[in-house]
Amino acid sequence: MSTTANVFLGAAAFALIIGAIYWFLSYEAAGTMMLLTMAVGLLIATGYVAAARRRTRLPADVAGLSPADEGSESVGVFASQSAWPALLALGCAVGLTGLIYGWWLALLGALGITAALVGLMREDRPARSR
Amino acid sequence: MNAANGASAAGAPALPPPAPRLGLLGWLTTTNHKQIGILYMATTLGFFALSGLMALVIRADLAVPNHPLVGRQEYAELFTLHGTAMIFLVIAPFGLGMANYILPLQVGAPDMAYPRLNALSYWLFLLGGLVVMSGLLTRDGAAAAGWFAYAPLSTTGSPGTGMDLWCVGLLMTSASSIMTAINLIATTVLYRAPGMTMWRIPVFCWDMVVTSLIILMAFPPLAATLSLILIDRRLGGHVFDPTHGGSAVVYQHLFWFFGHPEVYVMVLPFFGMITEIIPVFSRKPVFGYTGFVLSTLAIAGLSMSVWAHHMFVTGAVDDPFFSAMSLLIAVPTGIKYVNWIGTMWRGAIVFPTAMLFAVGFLLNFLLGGVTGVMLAAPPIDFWTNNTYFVVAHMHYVLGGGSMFAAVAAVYYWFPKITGVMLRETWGRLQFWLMFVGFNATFWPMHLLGLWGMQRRIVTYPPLPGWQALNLVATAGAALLGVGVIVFLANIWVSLRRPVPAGADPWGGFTLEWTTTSPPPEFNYEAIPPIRSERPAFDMRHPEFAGGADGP
Repeated sequence: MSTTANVFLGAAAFALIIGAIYWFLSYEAAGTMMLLTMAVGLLIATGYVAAARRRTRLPADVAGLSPADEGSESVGVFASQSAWPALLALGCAVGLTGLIYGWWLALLGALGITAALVGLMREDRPARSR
Repeated sequence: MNAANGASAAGAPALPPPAPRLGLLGWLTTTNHKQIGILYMATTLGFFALSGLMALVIRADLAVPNHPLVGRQEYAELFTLHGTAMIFLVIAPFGLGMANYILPLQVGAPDMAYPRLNALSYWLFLLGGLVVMSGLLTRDGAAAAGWFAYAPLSTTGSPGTGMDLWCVGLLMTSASSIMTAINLIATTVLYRAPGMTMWRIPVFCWDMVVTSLIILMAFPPLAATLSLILIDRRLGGHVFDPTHGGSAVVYQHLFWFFGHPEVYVMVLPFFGMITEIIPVFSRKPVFGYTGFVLSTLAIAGLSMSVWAHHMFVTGAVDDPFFSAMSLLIAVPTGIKYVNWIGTMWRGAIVFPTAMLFAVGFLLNFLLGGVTGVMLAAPPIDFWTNNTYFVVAHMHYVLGGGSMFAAVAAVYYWFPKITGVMLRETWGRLQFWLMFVGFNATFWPMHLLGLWGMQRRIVTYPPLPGWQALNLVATAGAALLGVGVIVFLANIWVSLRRPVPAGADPWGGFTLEWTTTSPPPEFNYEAIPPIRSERPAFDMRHPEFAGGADGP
């Protein structure tokens, strides 16, 4: 397995062992549940990383490879500008303060969040279909 | 050290060509990791200034006995917002902000894995912080239940909307931190340059990966806790209300399951920064790279299993278990000290400001660590709980530790970020002001705590020894404040009258020093071969390339 998967697995094993020890020493439910939830979450991540590793091998993990060897390789497309993240955050702020000041503010926030999510998804489409 | 005797390969460094002005709209819509990193750090500086002013008011209030400057309610708001801001809006996000700028450069990535998610994280953080602070503008004042907001003080005990705004704001910053953690892990795992194996990434990147893991484990319980407080407050819930079958102790379990790992979210990034700085200025590779990484992982694991040492006085937790686990953390932390001292041992050490602050960190954090071991013992904790001894301990860890490391990191990476050097003379002055000021402020608090002075009291009687030590602490705080002003003035002057830094003013080891200062939009025109955790050093000294010890 990759180093990343080993890190997740090691952390999951630690949480599982400590969770078991903690339960038998204290019989306290809240802490035990949190430790076990932590273990389950990490095990899911381990499985995902291990499965992805079987499908692809990253050039970064090949010790003898140089960046120049992979010069023509595309590493992905990176957005350089987008207004939607700031608007989405603003929608969250307005919507959540609506819990305090009234449903009309929550509604306004929900509208902002919806508009920003739609904007983000439209931005994600390939240029040709826009 | 300055630009003139740095190791810039291309002769005398020149000022970078003026970058195109971004404009307000540009900053609002940017998704570039470097600009978001700058936004993070500038925002934390703003919250730091606000929170620091609150601390100065607190110290002025306590300068002399029986003479409070503010009322009890205002005092409670001050210490609540000071703690909240420093923890949630300054120290932890500064680490994330620096990682935003530096981590993609160090692993050879063109940007963060999810640039728009990264921008969302920043805006949630900024707006969340402003929502927390907006409590000051409400009729009943801001949150006043302390930064850990124990129930029922935070539920039935705080009827004002300031407490609701505190919960909502922190809910937003929690979501922001979780998203940043996902982004940092994904960037490190997926976007490393060819040849940059996980065992070649800089220690700072390892520390950010581990910090991100802690965030992913610890912040969801915080978000749940904040939501449950809101349910109790706004929707008639009784989750933490013992009179209706709820439990206030469960609140403490939930909060500290987040709260103690959060200490390491505020410490591990700074361990990483120090570990970048010490080898460069000792002219040696880091001593025990693998041991360092493994000890970081051990700290992370242990940090998740010590939460209830904050709850010894409830009498409702397993003292031996939590005491033993807490004491164990001293072992991997001690290993780090061996790494740092081993790196400096017989090195050709130079002391620019960054290194001075790094050594200041080592000294201050050591004291914070030792008092942490003391507090892990229940008998000592019973005696000192809720006293100024605890205040001294946590400030040595987070102020003398993390804050000193943050300043060291600014001096170290400012040339990379801006292309210009900070003034060294000002930096040295700042170091001594802050080092003396910090220790004068917080060292006396150990004694005050042992002599029984409670934390969070608006004033105190003139008991033997208390008056003099409180006056020393207040004078120290003023000195610390002057140090911060010198720092801000240094940044201002250095930007107004720039001294060019060149690509690599320090003779750095890691990949970011091989690109221009500041780097181009997608970071690198060309990346050199990576054969060890010191690719920049390998490039300059091919005769030692591949991890062999340098001269």
